[in-house]
Amino acid sequence: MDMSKIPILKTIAWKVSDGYVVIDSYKGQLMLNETSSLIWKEIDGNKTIAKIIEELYEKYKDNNNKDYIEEIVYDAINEFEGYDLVMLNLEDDMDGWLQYE
Amino acid sequence: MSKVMLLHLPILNYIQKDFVDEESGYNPSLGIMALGTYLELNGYKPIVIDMCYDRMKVSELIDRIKLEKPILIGLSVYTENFYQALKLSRIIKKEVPDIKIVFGGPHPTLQPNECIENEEVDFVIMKEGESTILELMEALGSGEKTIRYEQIPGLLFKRENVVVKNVLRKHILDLNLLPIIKRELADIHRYGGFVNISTSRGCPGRCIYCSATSLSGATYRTRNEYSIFMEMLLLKIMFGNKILKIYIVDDTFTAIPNRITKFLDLIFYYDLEVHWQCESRIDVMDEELLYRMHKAGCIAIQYGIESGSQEVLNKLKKGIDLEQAKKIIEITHKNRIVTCLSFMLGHYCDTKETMWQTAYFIQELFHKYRAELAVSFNTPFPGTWQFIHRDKLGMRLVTNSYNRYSLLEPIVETDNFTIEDQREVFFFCKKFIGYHESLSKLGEE
Repeated sequence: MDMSKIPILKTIAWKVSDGYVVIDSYKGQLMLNETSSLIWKEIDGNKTIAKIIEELYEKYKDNNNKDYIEEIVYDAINEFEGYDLVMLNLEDDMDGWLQYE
Repeated sequence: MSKVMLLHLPILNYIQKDFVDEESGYNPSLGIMALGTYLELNGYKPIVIDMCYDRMKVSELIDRIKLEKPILIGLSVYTENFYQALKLSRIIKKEVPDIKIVFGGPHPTLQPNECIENEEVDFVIMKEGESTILELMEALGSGEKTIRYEQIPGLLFKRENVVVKNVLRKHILDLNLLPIIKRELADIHRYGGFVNISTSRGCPGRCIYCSATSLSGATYRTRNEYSIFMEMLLLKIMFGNKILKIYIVDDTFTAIPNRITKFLDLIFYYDLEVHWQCESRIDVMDEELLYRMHKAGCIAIQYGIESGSQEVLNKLKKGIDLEQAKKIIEITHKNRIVTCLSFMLGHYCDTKETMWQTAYFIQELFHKYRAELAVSFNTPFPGTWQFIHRDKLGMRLVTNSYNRYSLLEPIVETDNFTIEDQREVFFFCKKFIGYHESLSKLGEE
């Protein structure tokens, strides 16, 4: 996965319920586990994957090494992409809208 | 003939893709179309490109610029696409270094200095652009021999790296003097579905969350009934049955009763068969007007209700009464006009309770009237009254990043509600949003 890509949410209908993210997607409702919820909440359309990893590592470095954080972020973002919940753009990508077709 | 290229940038996020769905209507931005029409009438050659529809890659755009050699490129800029506009301008300047770039539209009007401070922006047009861009073209075309930049009201520019801000230009008081938009400036064969027209500028309302006053001033200016009728007739002749609906995009189409009465009289007198939709306010509607509008082909009306709490509406200076709103919605529905209702969450005076009141009100309206509902998040755009007074209003912005100022994401919190509270209410409302079936059915009748 390209660390310089920026994940962007493709839905606005989501909420946090008892610490877990619940998403209302066109495929139905999904509930993320605690770890995926943390990663989901970091996606703001501005941060690159590298930045998300860095920020999560800063928060949780006492109990986790960076490789582990990297792995769970990759897995989660892959899964979000698989469910068509995020798209990945490059920061300087001006042609991003072509993906909407 | 000197050329000018007018660009409307592509949508910025995936969620907005439905707003530019060509299947329901090809509607290149009315702003750049209006400027293009005005410039062409005055002897210039406009090239109008709405990148929401003409999804050309940046490399293709650059090729087109090199081919057409315009003397000026104008970008229509909103707060949410400001960074994108700068990025694109940087690329254009790199590829075509001598080209001049002007920013216009809502964000440059509200934040002109922020725009002009950027190296890649040569000029900024504040407020209405027709006369300002025309005079700018004259200045550029003549090397400032016929008119100097300093003499152009409404313009910001840089002279030897010093920013010069000219006086604001007065609004166009008589909109009937403006030409009717020349649809041929875009790809005329792609028109169909619904087509947008604009018949006024500004809004008589003074709601505190709205940017209309900051953008269009404290005046409400209108085209007369003949001008509107002629444009509708023209569209009918040009596109025939390809047009399912004409969408009048004015904030409050029916604000001046005499104008709307005369407009309806014209439709009846000439028996113009056309379906149309407009936006209006609850406080300027009545039973007789709704009956006549229905008979004249109005198939849908959009009302901004904004909240299900009367207390919140009063604080927002919305000027509507919820009981009256229910009555007007009922009458609209009875007249077989689809009611489109818009709401916002996250007003400065909202609480968790008032947002849930809004949600339950939305639920009620959905079940009772199958209303088309839209819910967005209150967004104080930089330069607006709400933004300037945000501290006093107790609003905290959770981001400075403009590309999140899209109305589709909560960015405000107060002591009385959080971002999560807004998400939770929106999540509940989601199932009632964007119900299109009733509208399409009525359109077929």
